[in-house]
Amino acid sequence: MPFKTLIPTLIGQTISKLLLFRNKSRGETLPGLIVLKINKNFIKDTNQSVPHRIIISGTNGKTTTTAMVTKVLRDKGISFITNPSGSNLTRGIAAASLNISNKITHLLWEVDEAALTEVCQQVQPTHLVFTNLFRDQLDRYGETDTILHNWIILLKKLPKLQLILNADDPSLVYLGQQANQHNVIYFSVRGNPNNKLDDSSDSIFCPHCRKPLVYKTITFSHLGQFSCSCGFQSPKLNFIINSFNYRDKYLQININNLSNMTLPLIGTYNVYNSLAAYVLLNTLNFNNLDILTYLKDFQPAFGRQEIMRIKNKNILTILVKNPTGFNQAIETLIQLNKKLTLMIAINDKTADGKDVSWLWDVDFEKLTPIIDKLIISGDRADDMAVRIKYADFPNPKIQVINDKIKALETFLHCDDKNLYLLPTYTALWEIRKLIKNYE
Amino acid sequence: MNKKQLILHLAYLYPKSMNIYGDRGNLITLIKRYQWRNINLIIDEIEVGDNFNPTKYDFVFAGGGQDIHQLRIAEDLQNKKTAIIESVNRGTVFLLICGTYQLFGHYFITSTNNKIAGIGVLDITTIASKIKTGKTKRMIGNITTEIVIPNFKSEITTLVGFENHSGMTFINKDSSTTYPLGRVIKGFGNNGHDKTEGACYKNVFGTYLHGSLLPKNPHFTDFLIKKALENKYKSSIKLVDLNDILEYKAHQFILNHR
Repeated sequence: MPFKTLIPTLIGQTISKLLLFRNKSRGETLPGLIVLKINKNFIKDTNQSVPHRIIISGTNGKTTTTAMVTKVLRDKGISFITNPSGSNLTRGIAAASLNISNKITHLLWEVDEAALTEVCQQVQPTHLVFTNLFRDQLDRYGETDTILHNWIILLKKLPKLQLILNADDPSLVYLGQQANQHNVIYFSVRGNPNNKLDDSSDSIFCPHCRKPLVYKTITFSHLGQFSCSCGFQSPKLNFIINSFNYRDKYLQININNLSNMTLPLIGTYNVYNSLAAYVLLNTLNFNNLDILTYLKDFQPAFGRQEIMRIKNKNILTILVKNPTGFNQAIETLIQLNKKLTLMIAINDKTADGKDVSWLWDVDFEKLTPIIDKLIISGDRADDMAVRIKYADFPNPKIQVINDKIKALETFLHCDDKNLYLLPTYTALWEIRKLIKNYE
Repeated sequence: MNKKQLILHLAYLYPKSMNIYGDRGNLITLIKRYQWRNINLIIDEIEVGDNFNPTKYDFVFAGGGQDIHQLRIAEDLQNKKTAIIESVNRGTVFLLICGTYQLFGHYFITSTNNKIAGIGVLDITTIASKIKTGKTKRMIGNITTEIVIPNFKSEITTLVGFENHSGMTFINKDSSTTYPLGRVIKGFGNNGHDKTEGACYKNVFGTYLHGSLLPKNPHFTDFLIKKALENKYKSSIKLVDLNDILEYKAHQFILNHR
């Protein structure tokens, strides 16, 4: 190990161990912050000798996609390092980079959109996956056009790499066109010709000429098969899912009419996540059968259809962060085809976004008919309650319990054995901690 | 009140492009609060290129959008300018949030020093903070103001929401027509300096408040609802009271916490 990385590594690892000793869950980013103070190019100095450097970014799905790739790398016995979900800023990557040794062949980084430019310039990825681009916490990330613009500038600066893009997102297709010095691979999920654009769809105008795009099919939000009179259109596809279905809590998808993939997940957004993971692994020359076999018993990541078991109850949790994600969570719950006992917990801390306006872009009108019991909690429970009231949920049935301990207590005392929890990011952390205390 | 069926026509301007900050909540709130009072609200969505009928509408609503869409909207508004001014003069209620609020002023100078012409309904001008001060400053956060509309009568006079803008808006100092909507108690307001927030002229109300604005400010919502009805039916109207406990809890949260 070169001297310039040796000293920060030793210091960082020592801090990691001390932190781990004190508090297991929170030792993830502080060491990263410290090593970057000592050597601001720490990521660059440690990462660039590793042959395969993979970055996964985008608004939604990056955690699940990363978790799927992780599962295959681990089962295949690859020497790799990945960052824990939630530590996806520069300091998180730096902290995870402390573990790099000569044996490591693959780096797999999930990177927050806001940190992408900085991280990419340091890592110089060999593979870069973009899942999608939706409006998300505008007070933190800014508008989607600004983000896209920054990505284009970034890609122009990076050395030639393998770019893996969602062909159904007009913004990403535009990105692929602008960054054509890279190897671009497109993946797509065939949508439904009868689907309509949501009110909160973002990229529905042509990125070239600004005319409204014409959609032939739509999967959800602004994802679909599109064209514009100026010539901009869905690109030539490398990987396509023509059909998928759900059977007994399993998602069955068919890729390129060849490979059949089965995963213990639900929701159309997970079809995209599975495909993104598959395409990346395929591009990395993993054996087709290995990918399909290892993903069959994939376990969902933190809060992504993760099932928490407590007091004979199963709490299925779907993290909600932005309108598209929340709408997809609602669509997924509708597919369960039953009346649900549900808790929604909305916080407005920095990681959640301080602006709760986005709740008004979510189609709660579709959720209210499938609710049997509803508990609303979190720091912004009152705003959520108003939103649900205006989605025609009967006022007297709205149960607002601002205090999370009491809310959880009431939730767990509901008759239903299977409970459903939709929390924002920090609300999930708080509720998980409370659940741990029960055990 | 409802001896005969009351009917209002609302124009929702640019729902496809000026819709990213949750401002749709304002429309949902109007729909419900009219519906709960058995008043029929008919909505037309009006996009770029569509005709705006100046005599049809009693209420016009438009929200905030991305900078890039604001350019398209600005062009289109010029085509609708005469019709909109006629509608304003008829006393139509306009609620304009953020991006469209700016374009109802004289002009908006963007961060790239591009001067976009507005339609000059409001005697205001907007200039990107980067051009005004040399540094981009986004004014982001929860905001509380005191409503200063002269004839606004309500027990509750605060307005709460969330602002997120880098344009600094100034009401013309000598304006005889345009006055602020609110005085800033907490937050930035129009420009972060003069404590004004929003601007009003006749029944046109422009503001930077997202949140969404109307759901958690039912007193202001009902003020607009009543104004639109009275303007149409040219008589005094008393609205049926609604249960607003949840709404005021959400209102109170902003008053208490930020």
